[in-house]
Amino acid sequence: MIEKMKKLHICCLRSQAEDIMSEIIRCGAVQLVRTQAMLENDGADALTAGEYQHSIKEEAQLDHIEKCIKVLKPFAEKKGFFDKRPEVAYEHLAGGMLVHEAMEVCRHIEAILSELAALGEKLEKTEFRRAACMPWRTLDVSADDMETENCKASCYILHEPITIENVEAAAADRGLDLYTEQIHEERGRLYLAIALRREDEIQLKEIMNDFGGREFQKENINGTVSEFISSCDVEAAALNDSLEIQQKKLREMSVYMKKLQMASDALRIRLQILSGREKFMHTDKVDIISGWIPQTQIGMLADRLNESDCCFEYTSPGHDEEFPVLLSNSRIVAPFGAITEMYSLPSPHSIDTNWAIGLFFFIFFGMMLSDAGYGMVLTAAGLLGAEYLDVSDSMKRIMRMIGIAGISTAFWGILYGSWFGDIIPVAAEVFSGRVMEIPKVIDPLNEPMKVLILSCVLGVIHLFAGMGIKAYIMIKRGDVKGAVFDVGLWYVFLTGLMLLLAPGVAGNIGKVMSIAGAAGLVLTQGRHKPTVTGKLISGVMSLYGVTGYFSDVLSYSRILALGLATGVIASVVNILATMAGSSVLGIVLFVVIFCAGHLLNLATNALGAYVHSARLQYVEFFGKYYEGGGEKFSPLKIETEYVKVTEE
Amino acid sequence: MESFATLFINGNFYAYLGVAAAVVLGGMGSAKGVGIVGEAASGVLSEDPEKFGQCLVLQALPGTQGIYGFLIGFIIMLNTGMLAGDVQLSVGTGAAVLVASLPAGIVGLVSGIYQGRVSAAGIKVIARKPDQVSKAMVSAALVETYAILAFLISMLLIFNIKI
Repeated sequence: MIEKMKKLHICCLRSQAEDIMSEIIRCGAVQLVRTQAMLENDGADALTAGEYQHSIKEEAQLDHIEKCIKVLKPFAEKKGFFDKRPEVAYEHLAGGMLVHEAMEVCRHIEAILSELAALGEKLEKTEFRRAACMPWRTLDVSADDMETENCKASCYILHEPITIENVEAAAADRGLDLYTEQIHEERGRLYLAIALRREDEIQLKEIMNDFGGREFQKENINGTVSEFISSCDVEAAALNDSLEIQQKKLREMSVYMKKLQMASDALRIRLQILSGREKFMHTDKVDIISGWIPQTQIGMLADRLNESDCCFEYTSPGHDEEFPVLLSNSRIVAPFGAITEMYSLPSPHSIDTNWAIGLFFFIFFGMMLSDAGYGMVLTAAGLLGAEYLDVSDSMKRIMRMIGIAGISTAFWGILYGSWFGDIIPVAAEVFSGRVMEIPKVIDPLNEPMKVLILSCVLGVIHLFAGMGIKAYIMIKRGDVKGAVFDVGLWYVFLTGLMLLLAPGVAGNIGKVMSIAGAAGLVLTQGRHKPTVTGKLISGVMSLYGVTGYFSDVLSYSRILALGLATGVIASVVNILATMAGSSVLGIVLFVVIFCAGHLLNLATNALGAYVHSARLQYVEFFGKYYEGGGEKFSPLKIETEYVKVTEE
Repeated sequence: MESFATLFINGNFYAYLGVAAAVVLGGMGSAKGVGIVGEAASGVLSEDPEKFGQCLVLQALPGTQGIYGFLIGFIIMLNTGMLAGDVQLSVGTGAAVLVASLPAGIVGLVSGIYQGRVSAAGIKVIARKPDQVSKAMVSAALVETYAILAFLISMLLIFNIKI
């Protein structure tokens, strides 16, 4: 059912607002609304709207902490699949100390990070210089000896196809006296050392310019090139050592991981509280907090608020006023709310039909998957997963829903005699040579028409239920006449049409009912039109609606198709799995193919069954009555990433 | 040449052609559809690898046409005794098998591609509003309806062909 909501106004001293907000967030039962939107006009004029709350500091802190958590992640111990988040008391997170300490840790980590970055940069430079010198390593002249008063030696790098002969020829043309030596050749590059007189240097530069040569700068090099290379190596090793030390320091910081995560969540809660504040209105000294609260939660909040000095009041929403929608249902029906919410919540003035949606989803999902083995796997996985895995509430709800739907799957599987397809007879024949027969009520492969008719009959029941709900809503709103005309007459007409298929007396009854129903529809469906001809035309046109019902019913044939698909793929898997016979290798192959094949079949067909059962609700069922558009009730509650917040 | 011409009065040939048509056409549709979604999904995954699971679900949706085609092919093989290697079909029966395989094959080809396009568009929903992905899934499932109907017809036809 749709929970009744009350409007809540709390007046408190502005200095207390933060405490009140933390009570509200711990309660998790109030959806804050802008006070302005909830007050009558004359009241709103006397008040000041809440100002934008500055949370830049908290956001920056959260950024820092998140960055550090990311850095430490590789070093911290991994969270196992079944591990739950640690539980932390609210009081422990609320104090400012935690964040303060975490920021201290962050500063440490950031210092290490910048040190690491600086060292890394230095190492890169050293390695670059070393790499640049490598081709010259056979040049066994010390850099200091390369220049005398009148002469000097220059180093040049040339590209193919220029050769040493080209350089010598060009020098001879200009009458230069050079000594050239090729030091190294690698990947089309020529490394030349050239000794020359100082006055010829400009001419040599011109020659090299023509050839596109580049001079090797040896300013920073002391001693021979190979000496310089080994000094680079020493430097790099030292840098690597200090890098390792810093890395180790960083690894040691991972003991603070938990503190950082707690601080991160504490900041998240704080940001949530701050974001609520801008919705307030206030006078000089008093804040007014407004929101929606489910009627059932009032007592709990009142207990908490009575401890602080504030006054609060509840009012019921006006007759036409929209309020946020919260559906409350029994433990069995509630998980199917996921299907409703996926479409749209019902409008607050409509009714909650989760029970019907859940019931039909349960039946259809089971028929589409229809395998006892798969059903048991789904039930076990879904219900245990929801119980023991640390996942979000909405995920838990979907798991529970799949777990419950698994029961129906197993039920239909038993009816169809399908246990992981036909594995029992197939395996019995291959491995022990015995012929086994699984008891079954219906065999969909041999009697598809039976299942098809069953599917369509269930479809008719589904559609009639949807129309019935429409009539219920109309009657509840006082439109009894409308319910009789728009739903009752269609019931008569459609039932009559179906009875026409039957032989004998039933067929005759069908004839009478369909004619009476059609006549009734022609007479009533145009009742909103002003003129008589308008009424008549609308009435006749309304009979075309029967094609819609026809296609709606046929749409349920997918139940048969998907059920057959599951069964046949399962038996294909079983054929493949038992192909290798009953040898040892055959048994190994059997286990592997059986597990992988059935897992794949279960995954694809469970997805198909889920999507198509949902579609039958949305298109066929909801089309008959559903009034969506409800806004979801989303109370301010503690939402954390790393820890689970508890009261104690 | 004479031996080649006898192919066309051989019932087995048409039945094998039916298997090929169902598997090939359905497979082509799904391959194309799944491919289109995969391309779209990589765009989202490069930004946010966490969404792999959701993208995978959407990408799997256009894969069913290929499965339906494969199933029809397999059922033909089972019903005509191809698996045992002992096939003796009249031309009429063989041709009936071929025609019965066409709905699943042809509709699978076309609907696979279109379902792929709808799912690929749904990938955008994952990028912007990941909590609304199920709506994109339902949109894609609407396209699949026709593949299911065609599969159903092919299946019922083949079951009822007297071998």
